[in-house]
Amino acid sequence: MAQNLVNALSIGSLNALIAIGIALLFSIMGLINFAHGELIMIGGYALLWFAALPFAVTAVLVVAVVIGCALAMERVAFRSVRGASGETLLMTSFALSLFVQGGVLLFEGPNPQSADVLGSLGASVEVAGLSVGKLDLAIVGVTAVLLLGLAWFLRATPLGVQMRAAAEDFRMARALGVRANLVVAGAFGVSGAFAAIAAIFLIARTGTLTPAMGLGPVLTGFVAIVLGGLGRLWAAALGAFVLALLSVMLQAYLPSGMAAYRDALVYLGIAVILMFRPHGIAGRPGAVRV
Amino acid sequence: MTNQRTSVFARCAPGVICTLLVLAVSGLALTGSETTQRTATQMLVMGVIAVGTYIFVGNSGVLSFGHVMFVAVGAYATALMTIPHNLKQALLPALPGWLAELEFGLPEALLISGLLSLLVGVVFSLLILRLDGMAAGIASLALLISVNVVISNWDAVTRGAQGIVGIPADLTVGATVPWLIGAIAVALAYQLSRSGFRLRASREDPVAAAALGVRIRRDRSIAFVISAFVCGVGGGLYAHFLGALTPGDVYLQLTLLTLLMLIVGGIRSLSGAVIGTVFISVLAELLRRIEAGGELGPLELPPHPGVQQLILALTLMLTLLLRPGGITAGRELGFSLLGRRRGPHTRPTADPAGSG
Repeated sequence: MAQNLVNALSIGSLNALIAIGIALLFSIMGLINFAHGELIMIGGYALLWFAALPFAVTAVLVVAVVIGCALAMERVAFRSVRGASGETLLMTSFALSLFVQGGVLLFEGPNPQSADVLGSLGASVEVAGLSVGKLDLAIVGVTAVLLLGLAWFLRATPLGVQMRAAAEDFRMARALGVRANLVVAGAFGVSGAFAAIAAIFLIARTGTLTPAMGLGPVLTGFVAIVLGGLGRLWAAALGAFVLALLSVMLQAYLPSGMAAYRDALVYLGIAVILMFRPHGIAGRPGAVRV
Repeated sequence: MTNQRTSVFARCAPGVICTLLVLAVSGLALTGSETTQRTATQMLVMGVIAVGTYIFVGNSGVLSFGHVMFVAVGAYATALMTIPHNLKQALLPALPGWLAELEFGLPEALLISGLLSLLVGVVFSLLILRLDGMAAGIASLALLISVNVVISNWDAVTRGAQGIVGIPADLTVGATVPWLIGAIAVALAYQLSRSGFRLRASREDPVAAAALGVRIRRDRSIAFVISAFVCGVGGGLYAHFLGALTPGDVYLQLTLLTLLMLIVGGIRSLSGAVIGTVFISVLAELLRRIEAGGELGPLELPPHPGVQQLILALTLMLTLLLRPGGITAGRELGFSLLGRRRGPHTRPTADPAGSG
């Protein structure tokens, strides 16, 4: 039981890293960013390109590359559709995602490549009678630090405060002197940093990367956000942990014949939860604006 | 909106013109090589799926990422009903007896598959249609994933990830055209029905429509279920086009392709769905040939995997930036300009963050 909780915590942390990156952009500009998966994918390939360097340098470079790509995406694609309807934004991100995937496919080919990251964290340690993977510890620890760091950033720095204001009411914030370009670019930058760190941990867990690898994580992220409740960052993290818990517990307690259907049950369960709480677990019903 | 008082002839014009377009392209393809004909068949099958998806997405304005689940249900159901009896016994020994005995001709199998998808649609409409906008799209995606997991693991019936082989791959251009015309007719009939008008009213302005007494959820359910039926039939055709069916064939890639066709063509009109299908099919085929390499006239091309996706994505992006409503921008083809004139940006959208 406790072992399962540790697993759920580790998977949930990874989910939360991804979900927060997506939720941040959603709360500020109403964008559901499909291309977030491609940021993770680029992070994975960047990891491969810089693999020869010491790990700390590699990690910094990966984060820098992904943040750069996120800012480029904002400038090239999303700036010109800012303020359009949610559907248009979603479709733009979807087109961008296909585009980036096609580009990487052109240069790296469709075959899976393997990468060995953080190999030294493969071992487990004993914590209070449980065997816990060092990698799991690293994921949970880094996620906790990042979430706290984000919370601090949003409360204590001028840019963070402006981002919160923009999330509350973009037009009003602009009228009060918040610079839209700065805030949106800042959000993309933070989102990119989260994607890069998620990529490092994801590759460390799975060891393989393909041009299409971003889709799985980004779907998990979407589901986590909708499950938790749209428009609130901590709710997205909550959704990520609930999703992981649901999935790990079903894995552990389903009879063996049913185990293969775990994901079907997880996603069906999510549809049912949404049926009773259409705004997510922690969401508030929004007032309809006419 | 199309004026109620316009003649029957004018109201059916989009359907007639779409049909003529489909007939013209198919006729053109029939003069081509076998590869061209196969591409044309694929285009027609995709047309049925795209029109099926349009019935719900286009009229309701709710983006669904899950419609391929009906395609999946239809494809597997048709495959199980049309594979020759003895082959089926060899392939799927664990199949329940009554299912092993079934053997239908293609048309009956397609209609039964459509009805099966319709039933699935009825159940899922209860789950999804309470939700709005984005949440509905994500929830339908969750259901698509569920359906795919079941298909990938139900070895006794679907052979899991190995997939079903030996489906008669007998689909020709001539055999597919009537189904696409049928799909267009169903879509047009729904669009011109009372429920279709009410649903489009709710798409333009949900609050005003609800105030006028439109029960949005009921009309969405009606469109959803009809749409499920057409997509199920499309799925059956798709199985017969492919000849071998694996769970990956009816999953995210097909979802993305369908949405690509609808968005580039113009998601808010039937003509847009048909034009998008034709346009993207032709473009994709050209790109596929470039991607495969070889000689293109005097040019010698090396193979380039990824080019097709790159250009298709670019097409989609340019469409969204330069012509957000798609090629038709919400207008229907007509003999005169009967089009709906409202662009996609004119309606008020509910604030996604819910503040206000």
